Amino acid sequence: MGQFKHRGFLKIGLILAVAALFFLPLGISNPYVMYIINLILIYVLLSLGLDLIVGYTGQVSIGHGAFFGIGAYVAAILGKNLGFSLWINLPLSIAVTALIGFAIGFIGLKLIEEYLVMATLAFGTIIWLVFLNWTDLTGGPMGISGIPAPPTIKLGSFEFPFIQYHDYYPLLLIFVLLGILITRLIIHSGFGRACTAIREDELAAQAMGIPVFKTKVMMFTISAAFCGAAGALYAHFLHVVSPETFAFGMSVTILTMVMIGGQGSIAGSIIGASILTVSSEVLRETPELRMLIYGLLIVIMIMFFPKGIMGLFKISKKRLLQRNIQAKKAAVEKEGLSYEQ
Amino acid sequence: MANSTKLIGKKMVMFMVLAILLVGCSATNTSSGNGSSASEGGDTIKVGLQAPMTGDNAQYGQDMKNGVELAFKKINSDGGINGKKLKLIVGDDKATPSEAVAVVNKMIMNNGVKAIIGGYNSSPTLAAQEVSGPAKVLHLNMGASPELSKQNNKYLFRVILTGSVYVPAVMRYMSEEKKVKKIAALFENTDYGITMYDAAKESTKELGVEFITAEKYNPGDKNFSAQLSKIKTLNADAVMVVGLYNEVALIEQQARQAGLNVQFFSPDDSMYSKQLITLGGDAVENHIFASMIDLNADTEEMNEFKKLAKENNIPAQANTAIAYDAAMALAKALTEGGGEAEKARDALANIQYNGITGPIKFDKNGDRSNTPMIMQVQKGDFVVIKESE
Repeated sequence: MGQFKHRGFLKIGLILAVAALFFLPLGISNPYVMYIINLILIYVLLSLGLDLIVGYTGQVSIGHGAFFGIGAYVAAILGKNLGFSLWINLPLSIAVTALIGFAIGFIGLKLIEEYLVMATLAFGTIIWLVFLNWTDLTGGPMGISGIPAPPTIKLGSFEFPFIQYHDYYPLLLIFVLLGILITRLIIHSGFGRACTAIREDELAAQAMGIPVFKTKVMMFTISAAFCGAAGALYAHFLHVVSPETFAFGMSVTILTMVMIGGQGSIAGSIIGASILTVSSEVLRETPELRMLIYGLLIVIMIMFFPKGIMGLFKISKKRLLQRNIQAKKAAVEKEGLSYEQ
Repeated sequence: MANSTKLIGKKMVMFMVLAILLVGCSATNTSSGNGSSASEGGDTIKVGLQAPMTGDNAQYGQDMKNGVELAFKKINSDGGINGKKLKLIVGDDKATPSEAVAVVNKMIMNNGVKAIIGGYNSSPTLAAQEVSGPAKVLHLNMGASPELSKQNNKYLFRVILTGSVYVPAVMRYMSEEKKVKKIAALFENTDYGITMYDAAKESTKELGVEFITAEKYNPGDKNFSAQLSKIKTLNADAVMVVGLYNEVALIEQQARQAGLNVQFFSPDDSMYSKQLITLGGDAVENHIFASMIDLNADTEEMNEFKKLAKENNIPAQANTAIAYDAAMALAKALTEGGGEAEKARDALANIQYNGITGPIKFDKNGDRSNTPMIMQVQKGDFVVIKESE
């Protein structure tokens, strides 16, 4: 009973915290900080997407930067050339990346482990080269600039124009919350559990009657769609896309976010995206050392905390629990009674 | 029981993450907030440098940084801007549009820079000026693309000459002095390369020359044999390369290896760097280009600059001199502006200043009206072969 009450409080607390997040811009006067927070939100969406396939299904992809790029370029091309707004471009970007994700998944997921990594690496490189060389469509190395801002949202007499970085925050936050919600729904569904079973033991999963290949392709498609959505938001938020953003480095960055935060954890995705985005911005002060320090940070993280920050949390929680049990055991033994849980 | 503890644990973690996020955000806010308020209330004026500090074009960025630092040192020791010291914030744009936007955003919003010097490359500058223009931040760039004249941005000024001045000058020289008729173009696939080629093409009719092919490459490419062998089969009289020195040096070395021994030329002074000769060696000998500056000129300004550079142990490169000029002109405008963005802009628009690169004044597009000279690489040095008109 007491437990139930406790959980109720937590739920209310959670709702309050989420509500409070919407009022965050009120406390921030520096638009640059707002800009970084918005970037973090986009990266959270990306790492949530990649975590679906890496963390929950156990299939490593180093081509997700390309899906991010495809989403961004679809939105940029449609927005710039045809004047489409974010509301049309976003579903289209998601559809296109999902379709390409499906195709790549269909081909690539027949391969196992390191071969899949190679296939996604090749795919990422191909897409980057397309961005770089299809000058008529993508602007080549110049990229596409002047992508329009999302149209003003009108709610009765309230108007929400998109001019400052503060204005984008609620929009991006809604999409991130939506992303978290969808992720939770997926991982707690039968489909999500099937994915976890595949991650733990593919053969066993197959023996239990899980359609392994179909499940993997489906998850890969959803994962790509997440990145597509992030791409469309990125294009309309930054108003400029250029190919080097979506090169191999981006795929590695997203993967690192997932690794540092902790695979198979929503909170891990959020932490990983926050740490990497902030550190990459802070290191702008020393451009010559930026990539060096950034790389060192990643090596240290991978070497000493291979399960990521959330893994660290889990370990310490386990230890705490064990200590509690042992303390209880000791206390009980002292009283000369047998221990029952 | 174990299950519910797990759930609670999960919720707790979620909550903690949100809390951390909130605290983290407000913490960064306070620290950076202090930073920007100090710049406004303090006795410094911040100026940003948007230039490639890492990657293939890092040498350009380093040269520009040297020049601006040299100028700021001189200005600050002479009393600064109305008593305020100039402080340089360096932003690495990696010669790419999206990084340029990100770094210019950061310099304006977080560091509170009042002006930006740079960028060097045209595409990043075109993207970044869309941020600096609405923020009313003076942007003194070194891009050559004629496209930069058409931006309708009152705060955008160009401290080098526009491509639509460089290109006809070098084309005229090639046609009249070198008597070339058939030219092959090889240019980088960027705003800079494409618009310079377009400008060159425009001048062909009047001069009676023609472009027999237009080959492209991407910045960072290392192998040009496909383009060069195609040019070789077409028997061109000369090859116009529009690019930066690191690629041009490679192109001319590979052209030698391919047996393509024709006159190479480039439209502007992005060639004017010791690095071209270091990297290209004998292969870049005789390379012709148009330039707005001659480091061997015996003028009062040039001698003073070279003396200053020597005292501070800085190599006197062309881009160092141009950036130095930009910083000096900017300082003059900021002094006259007295801290007001619009006044400083008007002061810069009407500036009359004799720099190392000649008289500095801007037309209504923010372009300079000087005429270039023609230079050639001769025995590992840059020699003027035709004075400016």
